[in-house]
Amino acid sequence: MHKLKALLGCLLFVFSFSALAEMNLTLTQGVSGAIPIQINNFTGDAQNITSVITNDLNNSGKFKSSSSNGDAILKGNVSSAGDKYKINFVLLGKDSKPLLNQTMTVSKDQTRQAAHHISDQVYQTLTGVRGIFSTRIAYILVHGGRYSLEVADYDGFNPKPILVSPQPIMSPAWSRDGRKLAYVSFENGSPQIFVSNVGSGARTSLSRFPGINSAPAFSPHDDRLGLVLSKDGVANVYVMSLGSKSLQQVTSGNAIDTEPNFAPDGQSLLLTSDRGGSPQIYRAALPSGQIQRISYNGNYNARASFSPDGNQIVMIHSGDNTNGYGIGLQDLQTGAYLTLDNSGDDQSPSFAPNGQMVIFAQKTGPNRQLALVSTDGRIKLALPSDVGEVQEPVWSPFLN
Amino acid sequence: MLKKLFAVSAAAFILASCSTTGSDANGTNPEGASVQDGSSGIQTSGVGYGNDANLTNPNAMVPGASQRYFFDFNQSTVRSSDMPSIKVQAHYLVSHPSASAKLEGNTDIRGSREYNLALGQRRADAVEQALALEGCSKKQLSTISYGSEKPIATGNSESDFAQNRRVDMEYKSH
Repeated sequence: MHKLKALLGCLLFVFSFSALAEMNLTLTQGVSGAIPIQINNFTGDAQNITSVITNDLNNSGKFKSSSSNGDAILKGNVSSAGDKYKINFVLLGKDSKPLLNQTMTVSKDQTRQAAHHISDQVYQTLTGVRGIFSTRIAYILVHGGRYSLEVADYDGFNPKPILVSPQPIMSPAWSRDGRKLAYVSFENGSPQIFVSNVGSGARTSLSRFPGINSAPAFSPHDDRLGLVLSKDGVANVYVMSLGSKSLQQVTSGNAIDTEPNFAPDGQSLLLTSDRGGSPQIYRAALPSGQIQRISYNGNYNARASFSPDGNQIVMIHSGDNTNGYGIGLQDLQTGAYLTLDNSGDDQSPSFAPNGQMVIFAQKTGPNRQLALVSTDGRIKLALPSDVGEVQEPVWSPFLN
Repeated sequence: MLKKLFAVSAAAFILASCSTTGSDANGTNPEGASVQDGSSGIQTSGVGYGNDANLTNPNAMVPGASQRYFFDFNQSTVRSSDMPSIKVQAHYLVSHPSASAKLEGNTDIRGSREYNLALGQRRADAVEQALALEGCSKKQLSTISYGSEKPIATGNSESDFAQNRRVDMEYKSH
């Protein structure tokens, strides 16, 4: 159609400069039970490896670092090896018991990733849980009349734009292999779903029916895409087979049904529906489409997603005991509910791939910003940007 | 916080501003949709909403003029106070068969952005239906939702939220 041709004529591959501000992760609330760890400056460290590791472990809320004492001691050294760096690190436990002793060789532009890898190793060794320090986040930055889909390290460092547009971009969703992002773009005048390869930037149109095409969600094996279409009159949830592009309609009726999110076993999905009068969370079995209500707490529950183990869901929540909109966590087995944050205008929660933290967007001032909270609600972090509004964060899968 | 310049690599797509929809798609009426001086002067063609001076549709009764219809929280029912304006616009469309208008649905900025996208569509569809019931052909109308992606008021007050709960009617041809 002529609109699409006109747009293709305007797509530019350009080398240009854009001002992108990094966001710095800041712990705003920690816990008193943090593990004390002594971190010695790595000898020969001119690359800030020690400080990246220190920030990672402190920002997890699970550790409190010092230079002089701890239940564990981390030390290491950095040396040049040709045109690369050789990094050796040692983690000692109680009574100087050696827990880790590893050496890695990395190229000169990989030292930050190396530091994050060391943090991952230390975190897993001392907590038993896999660390997320090598993961990434995607989000939408709104600044200067432009919308930008960005990918950054989990701590906000090294942001990189995947798509920049004069029209809105919404609902980024990582593929399970971490290589692609699906999202909604208004570039052709109405909301359509595209997918971009994060590394190469190559993009494909996935869905452009009349009306709404939105809320993309990859299935656990990346073979299907949950999505929302309004082509038949009202927003309904569908599942598209990514091989054949065939569509299966999951919901029907006059209610708004949206925000599909696959269970880890791919056999069901969560969705938001107002069929009961106001938005609540439902679960649809696949392929039968049989639907069961999940949320009963409060009069507004939306944007639910499963924890990696499938036992909990996180969602936007509002109710009698809430100040405006907050973030809620529900245990699917016990039904127990916990408010993780309640600043009045919270949205878009997303689990870390180790299930320990949730990233979300909140508006407490003129601009929406990112924040993180642990799934017990006790550890809080801020990830502010000084450039513009930041919205719709999604945490990547494990990437290594 | 340091601002850093980053080279945008070939991996990023940058879409140029050649949108065919118009960048001021929200259709802000240049005469102003608000009466800020607090006067209680009579608006001969406009419609106001309660005590919020920001919620006005000054050209409500002007056939073929841009319109702005407001909605209650989480509702998509066209207000009965908007029906006189709807009738005027419907009759204009009937008597001008080459006229066409776009109905753009919006919501306030809180809550789920995807639910808001669907709610904005529902609001645009409701205005379309109201116009159709007054006799105009749906062939002269198109609907789109921006959900909460294009707010005109970005504050955190009830007045800000109320200004965003709206359908903008923009004539594309007369």
